[in-house]
Amino acid sequence: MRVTTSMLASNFLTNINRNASRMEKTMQQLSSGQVMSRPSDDPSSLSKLMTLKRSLNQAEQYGRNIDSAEGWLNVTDTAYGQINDILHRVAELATAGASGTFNESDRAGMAGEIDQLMKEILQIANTSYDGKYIFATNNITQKPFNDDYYLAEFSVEDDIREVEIAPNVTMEIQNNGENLFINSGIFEKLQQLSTDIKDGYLDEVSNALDDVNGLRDFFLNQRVAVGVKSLRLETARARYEEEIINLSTMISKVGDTDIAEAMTNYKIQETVYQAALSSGAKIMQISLLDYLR
Amino acid sequence: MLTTGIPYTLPFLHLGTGAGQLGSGVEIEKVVRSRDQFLDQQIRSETNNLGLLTGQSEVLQRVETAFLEPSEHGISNLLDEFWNGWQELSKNPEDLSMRTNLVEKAVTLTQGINQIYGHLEYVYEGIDQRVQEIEKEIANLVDSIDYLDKQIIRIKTSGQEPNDLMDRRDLMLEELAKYTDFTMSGNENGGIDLTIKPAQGERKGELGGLLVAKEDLGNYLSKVNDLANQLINSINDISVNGNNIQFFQPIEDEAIAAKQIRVSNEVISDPSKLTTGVGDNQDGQYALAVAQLRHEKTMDNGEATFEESWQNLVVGVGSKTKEALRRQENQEVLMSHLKNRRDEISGVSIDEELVNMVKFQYAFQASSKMITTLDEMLDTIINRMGR
Repeated sequence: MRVTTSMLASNFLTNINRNASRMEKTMQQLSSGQVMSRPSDDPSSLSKLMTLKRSLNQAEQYGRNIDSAEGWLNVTDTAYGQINDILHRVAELATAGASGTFNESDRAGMAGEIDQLMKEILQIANTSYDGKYIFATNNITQKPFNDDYYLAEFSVEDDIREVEIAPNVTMEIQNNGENLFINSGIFEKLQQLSTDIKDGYLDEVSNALDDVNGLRDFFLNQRVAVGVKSLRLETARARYEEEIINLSTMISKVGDTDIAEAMTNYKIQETVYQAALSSGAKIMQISLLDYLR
Repeated sequence: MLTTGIPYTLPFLHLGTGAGQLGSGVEIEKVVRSRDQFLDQQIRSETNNLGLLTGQSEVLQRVETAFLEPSEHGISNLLDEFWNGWQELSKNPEDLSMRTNLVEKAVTLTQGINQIYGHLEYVYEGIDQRVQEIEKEIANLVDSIDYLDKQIIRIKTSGQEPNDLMDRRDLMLEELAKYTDFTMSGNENGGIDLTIKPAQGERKGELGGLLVAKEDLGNYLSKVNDLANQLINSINDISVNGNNIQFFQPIEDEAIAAKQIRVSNEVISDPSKLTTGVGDNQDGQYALAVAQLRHEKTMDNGEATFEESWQNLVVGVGSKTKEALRRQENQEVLMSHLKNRRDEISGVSIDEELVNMVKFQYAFQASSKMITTLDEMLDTIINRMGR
């Protein structure tokens, strides 16, 4: 094969360019910390990376949604717990009031205590969380029950609060206050009980005891329902937390530069580049001219 | 281009022609270009292919950078943020800061879409401009080749070899092959007949590459428009049920939806007007419905969600660019092999020339020695004999 000067020069240039562009690529991966800087760098990995990032983003959002739903449910749970405690005390008072061993002033005291407990229930019914009333029926930012133990009237439709906890899976976190405190008749029943105790209608009082126990069951069921929801959220949260860790690891695996690998590549490329430069510089200088007198 | 011919026939002194014992030196009869016509033709045709791939990959590289993926400024990330904005709003619909947050994210998203569309459109217009430039360049080259060809014919008919002009003509033909494909045949008086392929139909060279890339880019533009249209329609369909305030400004021309998409002025100027619930209610039900659009397969004839569709588009652009770059690289390797082959035949090797030089110098020295020896012999005969 005949080797000509221009062949030497153009081959040298082509190879130097190729080496330099490989080094540039590695350098970019090292300096940015990312394997890919453009879609064409590795389209199939990019596709994987985009899917992973989207899943991570969703998992994080659902995690935040679950946080706020849990906050809401915790407040609800506490409220039901308090109501149950109060009803327990009411039952004690009713049992005592039905026994007929107390005189009139004792009974008046009992009736007074029940009135106080009713006020407490009203307060609980007006519990707010983060500026929102958890037992509101419609307008969530307005106090739902007025001091006469009635539902405050708002000219709007039902206010429904739902939180998405998984793709297309929502959980209702709002409690229907009308159902809980008006339709259940809790205030009316306690009012009646208080009057009966004060007036000494012992038979009515012992009948009312069943009502109070019924109310206790009713609110206990509500609390159990909230507990079930909390459990669901907790399971979901545990799943998302694990998913977030897994996804982050995978994103890093797919998208981040493996520094050790990249540095090794860089060293190899550098050696090749230097070899090409120095051999080129030496060989291209030599010709027969150097040896002719 | 500097090429050496094989200019000298070796002067063997014992082959003297004509009368006398001495050689009569050397006459240059003809300088022949040492070229391989077949190789030249092959190089031209591969230059065609290289031009095609170069034109295509240059456009595609500009297209893929417009997408800004993978980065936090890419549409996929902006869409993520946008849906999250609706989620947060659905949880806290009475919180004005959540509305402002959502509106900001929506504005970032629409501006991102506008920007990408603008970049792509700019590249698209750039292609047309480049095509015009190339067409002008082709016309210039053809003119120059025609002029050279006429000169070559004139000189050839006078019996001489216009080697330098023919070299220049070959160079221009190769330049022309970068831009477009053509057919060429030599005629009997040393000229060439050249036909450039018509503008219609499949073409090679950079011109061909640009036209292929333009078609691809047209598809990408319409995909971006699809995304914008679908976003506007599905979200407005939901929000219009509330209090008649549309979230996105309605579009006048669906063909350039991605250019025009923006959050409606009413919403921007007063985010509290943004509807989030049923009727007068602001319970976040509608915000949730919008947030859930994320999971709906509304794009690509019900095949993909917004984000999946966008991912397919970006990955598609990436694969196409990668493929074009890879093929371009292969073609460059092929070209460099061919050019090496040509250099092997037509190139100058300094060592070879120097060896020849030394060889001829020795021949010259030998001749001189011959003359000196003869001179001495004659001197002996004429001046010293008979003393």
